[in-house]
Amino acid sequence: MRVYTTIGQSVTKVDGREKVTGRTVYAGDEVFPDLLYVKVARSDRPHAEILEIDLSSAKNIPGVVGVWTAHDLPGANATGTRIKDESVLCSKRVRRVGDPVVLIAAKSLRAANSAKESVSIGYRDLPAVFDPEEALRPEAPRIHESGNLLFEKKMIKGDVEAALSKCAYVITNTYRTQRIEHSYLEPEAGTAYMDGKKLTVKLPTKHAHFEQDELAKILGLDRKDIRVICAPIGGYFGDKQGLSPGYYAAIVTRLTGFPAQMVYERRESFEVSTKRHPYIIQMTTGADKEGHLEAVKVDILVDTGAYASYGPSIIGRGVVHAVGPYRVKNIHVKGRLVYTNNPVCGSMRGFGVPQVAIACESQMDLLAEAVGKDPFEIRRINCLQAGEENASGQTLKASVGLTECLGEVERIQESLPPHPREIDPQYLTGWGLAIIYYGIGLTGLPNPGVAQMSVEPGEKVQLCVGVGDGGQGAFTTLLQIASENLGLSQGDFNLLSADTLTTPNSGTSTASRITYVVGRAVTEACHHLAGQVGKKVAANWGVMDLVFEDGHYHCGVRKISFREAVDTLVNEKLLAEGIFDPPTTPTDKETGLGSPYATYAFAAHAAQVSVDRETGQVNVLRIIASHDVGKMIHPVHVYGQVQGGAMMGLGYGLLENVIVKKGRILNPGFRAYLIPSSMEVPEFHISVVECPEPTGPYGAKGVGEPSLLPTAPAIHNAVARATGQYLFDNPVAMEDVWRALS
Amino acid sequence: MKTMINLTVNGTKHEAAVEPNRTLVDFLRYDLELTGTKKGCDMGECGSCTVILNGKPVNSCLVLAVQANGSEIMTIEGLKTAEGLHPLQKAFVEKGAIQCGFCSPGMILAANNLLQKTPTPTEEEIRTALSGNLCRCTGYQKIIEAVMSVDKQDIP
Repeated sequence: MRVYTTIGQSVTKVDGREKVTGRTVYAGDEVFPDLLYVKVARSDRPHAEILEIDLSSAKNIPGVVGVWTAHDLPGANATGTRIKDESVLCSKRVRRVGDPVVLIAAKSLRAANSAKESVSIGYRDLPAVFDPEEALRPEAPRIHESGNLLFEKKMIKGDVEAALSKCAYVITNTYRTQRIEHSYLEPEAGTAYMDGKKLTVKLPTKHAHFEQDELAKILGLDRKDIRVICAPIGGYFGDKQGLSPGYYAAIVTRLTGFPAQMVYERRESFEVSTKRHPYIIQMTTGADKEGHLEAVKVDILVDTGAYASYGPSIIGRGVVHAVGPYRVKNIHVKGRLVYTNNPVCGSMRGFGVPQVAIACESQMDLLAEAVGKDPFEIRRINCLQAGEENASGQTLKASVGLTECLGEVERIQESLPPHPREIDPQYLTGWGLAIIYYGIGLTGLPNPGVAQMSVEPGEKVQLCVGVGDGGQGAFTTLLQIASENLGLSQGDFNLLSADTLTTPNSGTSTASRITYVVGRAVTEACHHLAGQVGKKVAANWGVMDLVFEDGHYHCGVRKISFREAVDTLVNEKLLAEGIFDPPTTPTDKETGLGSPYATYAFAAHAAQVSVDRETGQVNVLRIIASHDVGKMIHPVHVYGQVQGGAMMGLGYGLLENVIVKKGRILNPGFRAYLIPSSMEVPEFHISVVECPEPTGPYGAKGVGEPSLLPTAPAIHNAVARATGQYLFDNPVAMEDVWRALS
Repeated sequence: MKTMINLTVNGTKHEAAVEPNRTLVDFLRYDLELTGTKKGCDMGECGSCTVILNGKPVNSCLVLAVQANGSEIMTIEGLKTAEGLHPLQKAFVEKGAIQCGFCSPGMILAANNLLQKTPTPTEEEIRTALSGNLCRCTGYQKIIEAVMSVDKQDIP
C-alpha cells in the first residue's frame, strides 16, 4: 500500500484559527465608513396584481438615500439559476409571499427599516393555487405563461407492467415528504462597493462566476466591470446562489456609487430562501418469491413553488436515483415539477434524493417483511456490485463499496450491548436500516473543474480555484491534494479561492463535487506544473529522462526537491492549469437512460430508536453509519460530514417541517421550526469504507450529501420495527406515532 | 434621544451614547466593530450572538446596550491567553468542532463559561450547557468531544 505524507491525515483546518478567534470576516461583517443599509419591501400576498406603489412617505424619512421600483433597475429584471423566471423587483404581479417589490437604501438600518414599513403597495388579489395536484388541473390559475407543469422527466427500462404481472410480491404505497429549510446559521448577506471602476460584491456563494454573469445582466454592466468575491460561507447546504442580498447591495452601489450592505433577517431568510422540495411519491415494488427485485414503478409529483430555481435539475437527479442502489431490470419512473404559489423550493443537500430514499427504503423493508428476510439480507441480494448495471443502464466499473458498508453496519450493530431503553417498559425500541447511492457531479452535464497554479523562486506556490469553502474543509482538502502531489505542505501554498478577478471558474460547489472534480483538477495542475519545472531541471542537468516522485526529481543518483528546483533552477514565473471534466453522457430524452455520473458514493445507516408508549415521542438512540468515500483525504472532516449530515437527516426524519398555509410560512424562525440541538445527539458509530475510485484524486469520491441520505429512511424503518406500523409521511411526527400506537 | 453608557468590554472601558433601542449585539458589532460576535436570528433563538455578561452567557440580541451599562462583557475577541489561542479554541480546531464557523464564537464562549463553573463536566452537562447554541454543520458530536478534551489545568 502506498504511504502518503498528507493524504489520509487530519491536518490543521486552514481557516480554523481565524474562525475560533472571531476574525473571519463574513459578508455581513464588512465595515465601511459611508455604508448604506439595504432593505427590500416584499409582497404579503401569494398571488396578486400590483395596482399601485406609494413611495412618498418612505422617501421623506430622514436618512433614506433611495427608494426604487422595477422601473429604476439598471439592467435586466429577470433572474434564476436554471430558468430566468424571477423578477429582481416585481412590477406588475407577485406570485408568492415574499416576492420583492421595492428596494430601499438608507444611512442607518433604522431608517431603512422605517422606510420599508412605510412603503404602501396596492394589490388586486388573483386566484392562487397551493396544491401541486390542483395546479395541474386545466382550470387552475396559471402562475407563469408557460403553464403550471414546469418540467417532466422519465426513466424507462424494460417492461415494468409485464414484469409486475409476474411478480410474487407487489407492494404499492404513497409517500409524502415535507418542505425543509437549510437553516444555515449565517443569514444571507452581501456587501458591494466600487473598487476604482470595478463594482465589487462580496457574498457567500456556491458559484462566484455564475453570480458575475447574472449580475452583469441585472446591473447592465460588462462582466469585466464586476468582481464577485465569495466571502467566507457561514453554511450553505446547497443554497446561497442567485438572487440574494449581494444582488440588492450591488444594485444600490450601481445606482448611488456608495458601498452598500444587506443582511437578511432570519424571518426574511425563511420566507425568501429556497426550501427542500416536498414530494408526493407513489412507488410500486415487485419482486420474485426470494425477494429479488424485478420491477419498480415510481410516480413523483413535486411542488417547486412560484419559481423554478434549481427544480428541473433536482427532479432530474431524483428520477435517476428513485430506484435506489439496486439491480432492477424493469423500471418506469416519472417525475413532474409543478408551479404553485407556495414558497420557492430549490437546491438543498441531497438534491432531490432524500425524498426518494425514504420511499425506496421503506419499500425494501416492507418487501423484506413480506418475503420473510431480514433487512440486511433483502438489501444484500439486491444491491449493486462492481460490474453491474444501475437503473439508468450505466455499468459501474469500479468503486462500489456498498456490500462492505452493509457488512460494517451489521458487524457494529451486532457488537453493541443492549441499550438501557430496550428493557425499560416505558419504551418500544427498534433498529432500522437504509442504504443509498449518490452520483457525484452534475447529472449528465459537462461540469469541468479547473485549477490554476503558479510558482516562482522564493515565493509560495499559488493555487487558484473558483470554489469557496462551505465549512466542510474544501480548502484544506484541496491543499492536501496539492501538497501530496508536489511533496510540499500546507504552509508552502498561497490559496486564492472563488474570486472572479483572480481565480478560474471551477464550476459550482454542488453535487459533492469539490473533492472529486476540483480535487482532480488540482492534481492535473500539479502534474503540469511539475512537468514544467522538470524541464528546467532536465535542461540544467543535461539529461533527457527524469522521474518526479515523492516531491523530488530523480535521475540516477541525482535528486532535487520541487521547492529547491524552483528556487535554484527556475528564473521566471511558471503557470499551469489543470482541468478535469468527469466522463458522463447525457441521459436519453425519452428513456432517461445513460451514464449521468462518472462515479457514485455509497452508504448504509442503521438507526436505533425508542418510542414512548404513552406520547409517541421518538428518540434516536444510536446511529451506525458506514460510507464508501473512495479514499479519505482528511478523516476528521469526513467524520464531521457524516455526523453533521446524519444529524441533518435526523432533523429531516423527525423534527423539521416548514408549515405553509395559503402560501404563508407559519413558522419562520428557530422557535417554531426545530432543528436538532445538542440534546438530540445520538450515540454515533462510524465506519468508513475505502473503495478507491480510479478517476478520483488519490481514489476519493465525495461525502457531503451522501452523509444525510440514509438517516431519515433508517429512522422510518426503526420506528416501524418498534411500533409494528409503517408511516408514509415524512417527518415521522409524534402525533402520527401516537395515533398509530393507540 | 441617546443615553450615555459605560461598560467594560474585554478589559477595555468604553463610554458611548446609544439609542435606547440599540441591542447589545448591534452595539458590539456596529459601534465597537467587534464583529466576532455573530447575529444569526436577532430573536434569541440561535445562540450565535452569545457573549459573557458579568460572568453569565447571554444572547446579546436580547439585551439592550443600555441594560449593559456598568457591566463587564467578554466577547470572542477577549478570549485568548498570553500564549495565543485559548485551550478551548485549540481544541475546537484540533477536534474538528468548527465547520462554517458562524456558531463558533458563541459556542466557544458558552463552553468556556461551563468550564469556568464545572471544570470536568460530563457529556450530559456539556450538551445541556450548549443546548441554546445551534450548529447546523457539525452535528455537535465533535463540539462535545472538543469540550471534553480540554484539560482543566490548561484553563487560565
